[in-house]
Amino acid sequence: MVRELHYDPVFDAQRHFRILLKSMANPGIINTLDDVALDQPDGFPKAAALIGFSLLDTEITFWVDSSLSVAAYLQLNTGANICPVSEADFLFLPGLSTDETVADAKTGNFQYPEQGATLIILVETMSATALEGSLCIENKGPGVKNSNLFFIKGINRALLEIIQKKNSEFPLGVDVFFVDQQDRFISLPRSNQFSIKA
Amino acid sequence: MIDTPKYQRSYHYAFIDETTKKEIRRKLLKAVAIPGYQVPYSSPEMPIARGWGTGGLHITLAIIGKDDVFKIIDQGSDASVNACNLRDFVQMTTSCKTTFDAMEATIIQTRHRITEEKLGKDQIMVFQVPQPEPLRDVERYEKKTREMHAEMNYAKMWVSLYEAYVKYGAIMYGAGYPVMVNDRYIMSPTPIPRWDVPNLNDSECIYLFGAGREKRLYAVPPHTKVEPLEFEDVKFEIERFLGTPCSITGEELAFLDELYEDDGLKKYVISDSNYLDKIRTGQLVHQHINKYLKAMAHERES
Amino acid sequence: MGYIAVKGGTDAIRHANALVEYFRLRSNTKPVDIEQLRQQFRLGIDKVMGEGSLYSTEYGAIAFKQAEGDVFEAAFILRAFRATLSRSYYSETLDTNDMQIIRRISASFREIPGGQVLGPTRDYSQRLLNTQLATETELDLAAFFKEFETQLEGVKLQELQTFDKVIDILRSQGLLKPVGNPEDTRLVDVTREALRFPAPRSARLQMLARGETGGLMALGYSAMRGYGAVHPTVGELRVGYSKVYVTDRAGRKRYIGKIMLTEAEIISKIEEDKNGSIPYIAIGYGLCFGQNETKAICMGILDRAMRIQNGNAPATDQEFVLYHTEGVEAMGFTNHLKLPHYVTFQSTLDNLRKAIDQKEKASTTTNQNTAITT
Repeated sequence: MVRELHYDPVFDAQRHFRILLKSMANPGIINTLDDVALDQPDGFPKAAALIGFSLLDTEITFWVDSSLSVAAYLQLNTGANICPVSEADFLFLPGLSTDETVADAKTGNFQYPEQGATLIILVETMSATALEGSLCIENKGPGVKNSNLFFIKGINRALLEIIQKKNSEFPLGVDVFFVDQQDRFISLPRSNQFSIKA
Repeated sequence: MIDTPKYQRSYHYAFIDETTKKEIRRKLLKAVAIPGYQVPYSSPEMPIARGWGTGGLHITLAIIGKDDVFKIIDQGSDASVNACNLRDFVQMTTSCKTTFDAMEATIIQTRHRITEEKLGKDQIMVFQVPQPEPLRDVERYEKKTREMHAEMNYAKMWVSLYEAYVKYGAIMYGAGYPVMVNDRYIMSPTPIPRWDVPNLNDSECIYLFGAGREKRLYAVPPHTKVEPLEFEDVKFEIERFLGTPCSITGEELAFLDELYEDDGLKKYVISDSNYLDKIRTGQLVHQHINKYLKAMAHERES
Repeated sequence: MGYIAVKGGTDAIRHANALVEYFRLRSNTKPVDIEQLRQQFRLGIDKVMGEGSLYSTEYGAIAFKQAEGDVFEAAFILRAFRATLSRSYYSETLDTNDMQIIRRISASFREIPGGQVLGPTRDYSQRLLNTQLATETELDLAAFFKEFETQLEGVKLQELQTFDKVIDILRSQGLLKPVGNPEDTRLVDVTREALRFPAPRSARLQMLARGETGGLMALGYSAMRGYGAVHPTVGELRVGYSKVYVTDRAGRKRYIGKIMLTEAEIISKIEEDKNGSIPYIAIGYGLCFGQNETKAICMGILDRAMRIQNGNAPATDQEFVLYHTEGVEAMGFTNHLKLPHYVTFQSTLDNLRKAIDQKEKASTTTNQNTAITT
């Protein structure tokens, strides 16, 4: 477990945030985040670590699925505090999670919907073109001209359905980053509706 | 500055401390995820007075980086005094490149106008917001307006628009015409002229809004539905300049400022100073296209 | 050429800034010493610190000098400076029971344990303009100190005493009860998050502590005059030094210095309950930096007034009081009216002209119709 010394908390955080902002404003489009040398835990994509470094700090609470051993790494490098699912501002979990715990993630309230959590879901691979063994997702809404189509391998349909349910009462909901093992990521804000095709 | 070690101070890159920048960034992501909804934020004090653009500055300084090219306008003009002061401040704290060219800028901070030229997908427009709450004129209490937005209970607003129409024969909003965003939130577009309002709809760029004094951030992502409030039989209209062309370029299809020079005569000049420069020097411009402008262009042809 | 909104902006600013310095210095009098300001303009700087929300008489004095004595401007400068400072610690809760008193009075009882200590106050002086101050010299100062020391000679030095709170007398007699609805006791930091309404008491008191004295005074005064029906008595007013402690990273409690505070506990009557239950006494609390008694008293009055349910006066309206006594925001927004608003205005003119047109068209049509029928 390593304290990252090559990460620049001023300029890397800023540059990466711009990529995150553009991504959240253009949901369903694949972006990459991998331009800093890190020594992150095995199996944890660098992009997921960089998203964490860009957004987490001592004022933030987060939750990590028990199958991932990244809590201490994130805590050391960001100062953020671990807490139960229902209180967490940020949640890190694998796409193949069968655990329904994430159904307890906070969705905000009608007066302050921004309190809804941000999910960082780790998947195997994503693509803008058809991928074997993947789920095809089509999203529509703010940020999308007509609709976008993307393919994710390494995610359970059930998890996607939990997200749909949590986002069914807009503006309540959670906002999602899908991150794959090659450091690609896609944003899916609660403002977007999505359907799971074949 | 006194030259003793005690009094020497160095400021953060972009002035604001990293913790606050992160807070603003997180809130901006939520604002983008909930278009038109006002996110409360810490809004720390700046060396610029409240009401003079601190909200716009908070956003700009939280997002700006070494590769950005920064433009700032006030009422459409780059050379306006307050724009100059804020440009100096941003430049001094970031050493960024600045420009007057709307097409060259990556971040454009604006007070009360959208550029005449349409921004692209790699550009961000940051609005300075005096009053983020579009319902404030019909409901003075923040507690109640927050409930109204939560319940999507906008009856009071509609009634006041209707009453204005009955009294004056027009919906009496000049600048800052209220809009419905993503079929969910009524939003204040800031006191931009009606001319600019249609250009919020279905954009290519990201629109970010910062109200420093009132401590709210909000956003309109690209390709988002933004519609001015109107009735079936009382429609939204933009300002008309047909018949009163710009005295310098002859242009009638741009937002013009009415002004009076020493001779006391009424003149009109293109408000967007960069657009004026480009038209005057015969450069190619990429003006917004919207149905109101198209209709006006059509009217001019006939 | 005067101020043209559009062109030559940078030059205009440069000239304006140079003129500001010129007006500050053109008298060619001796530069004012920061130490003199700190000491001889103590009360002005106390105000600047309170509204600037930063306890530092030195930086307060610099801001005061930079702003040529404009307290609004100086407080603004100090606030902006404060926002750049890193926050290293939170202090331990200050216990004002331990305050090193320089002044302590109560209007509620003739005699109180420890006695009424008038301290440094102009309350009982005649406000006669002292023109001798125009020719004050260091010899005058020396003479004053000599005389003062002579007066002190007769006074026996006592051990430093702390004073119990007057309201504790009331509390011990069961006259003070928690009143009103259960309070939201969350501790928020108004400099880190935006106010939400209804605001918890910690937020309200912080806003008041940072509030502009004149604004607080106007609203406090209104409450006393019947706009909000708070009939206040000063339970206790104390001015003095409170010690500040922090816990360091090794867990040890460290003393870091003392600050001057003014604290007011304002006693007020509750309105009679319709059920005829006993109208216990409620306390309104005020605390601010330095010696600023007007502010602390008005804070206490407004603290109480804002807890009145269903009040219909400005002082009882939380949003009204808290938003509009925020001096830096109020001053900024008031002065922002000087910014060009011609595009907004253009839009208004356009709308107005359209409305006039509509009206004329409507009356022309009416006239035509009338003409046809006659």
